[in-house]
Amino acid sequence: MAIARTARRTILAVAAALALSVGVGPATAAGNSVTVAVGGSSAEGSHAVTAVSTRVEMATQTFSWTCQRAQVPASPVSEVPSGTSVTDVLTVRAMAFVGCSWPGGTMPTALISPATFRVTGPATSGSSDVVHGRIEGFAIKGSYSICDFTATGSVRATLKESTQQLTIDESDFTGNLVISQVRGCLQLVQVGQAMNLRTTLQLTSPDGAINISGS
Amino acid sequence: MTTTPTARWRKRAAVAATGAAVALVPLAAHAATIVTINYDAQGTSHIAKTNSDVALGPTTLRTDLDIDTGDFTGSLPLPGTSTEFKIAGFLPVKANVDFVEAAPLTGNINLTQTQAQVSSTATYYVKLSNIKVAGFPTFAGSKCQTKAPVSIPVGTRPDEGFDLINGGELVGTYTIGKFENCGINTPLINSLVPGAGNTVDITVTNGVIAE
Repeated sequence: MAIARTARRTILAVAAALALSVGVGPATAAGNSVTVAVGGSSAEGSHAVTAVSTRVEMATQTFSWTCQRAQVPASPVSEVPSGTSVTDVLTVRAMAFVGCSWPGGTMPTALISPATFRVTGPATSGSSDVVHGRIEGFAIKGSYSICDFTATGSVRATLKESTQQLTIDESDFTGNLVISQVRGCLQLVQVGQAMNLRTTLQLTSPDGAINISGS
Repeated sequence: MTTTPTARWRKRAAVAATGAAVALVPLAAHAATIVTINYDAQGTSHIAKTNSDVALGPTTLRTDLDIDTGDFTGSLPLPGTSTEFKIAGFLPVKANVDFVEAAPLTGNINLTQTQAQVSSTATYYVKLSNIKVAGFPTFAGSKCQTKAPVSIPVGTRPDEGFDLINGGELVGTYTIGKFENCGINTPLINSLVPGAGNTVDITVTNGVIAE
């Protein structure tokens, strides 16, 4: 009887430890150190990147809206560093969300500070990995006549090497991305609310495809 | 270190004064953020007792919207109009009707997604002039109007929404009270016009946010 009780306790303790190790806890800002190759070369260097997506979905628990597209322009330069021991795999210096439909008009929305994609999952030397990571330091501001808001935090993202698509999928109102600095907005978004953001950006570098390995 | 009773008293007084000063500092008031939106508005009102219609507008509905709360104030100035009805089913009566704004329009827009529910109340004195019975002018004076302002609540239908820019249809039911200062016509008018069950239907379109 005592042995059975001890076994049960051990199983519960192991289950709890496993649950914690499987990512139930908050995401950390640190990313994995990886090797990044661009156009097949992992020699140290910097490679300009642009990106565009065809649809963006944003939501709080009280309101959801869409934008026609997101785009990372050629200027200021967003870049991928090639080399070994890379932590900040992609630095996005500007991103505009265009055609964001809100009551009474469209709300221009944009990234307001550089954000970096960091790898948190495995990546092999092959070119078909779906590399999991996070975009850290993610801060966007939307502003139009009846509403201003800022959302800051980090967002989940995956880089699909075969298509060079960076998918941002911050969903389920995790609280990783949080609304602040609200002016107006008719209570559609409120300070402290968790925000979802989903889009798939097609990355383009004139130097070639981005490949991540060694994680 | 020891303190004298006088020093202790001074210390207590200083603490009390500080507390009082803190209590008297007003909390920073949250300034409302107001955005003005102007709409085109046009509609009709059906007067139940006379079974007649009165045109409302075309006019401009101005709303000063608190974009934090959705509360708004504003105005809906209605141009003068006229009405025709029959007494006892055969004697024609014509009159000019003016809606004189008695108080600012007030209301709330409850935005949940792109469609919103609106509730609002407009308040007017209803003024009659140039009253003709069977084509003959009758003296009603220039101050023939309702004793009290007529409160007209309007809102979106439950199954319809209001778009912040495209507008929508606002409907409501209201009561007209007694008239005064209509000379010898006062008893006649008060027997013919006042009453409940009057309806209003206004179509609001083309919202323009004033920059």
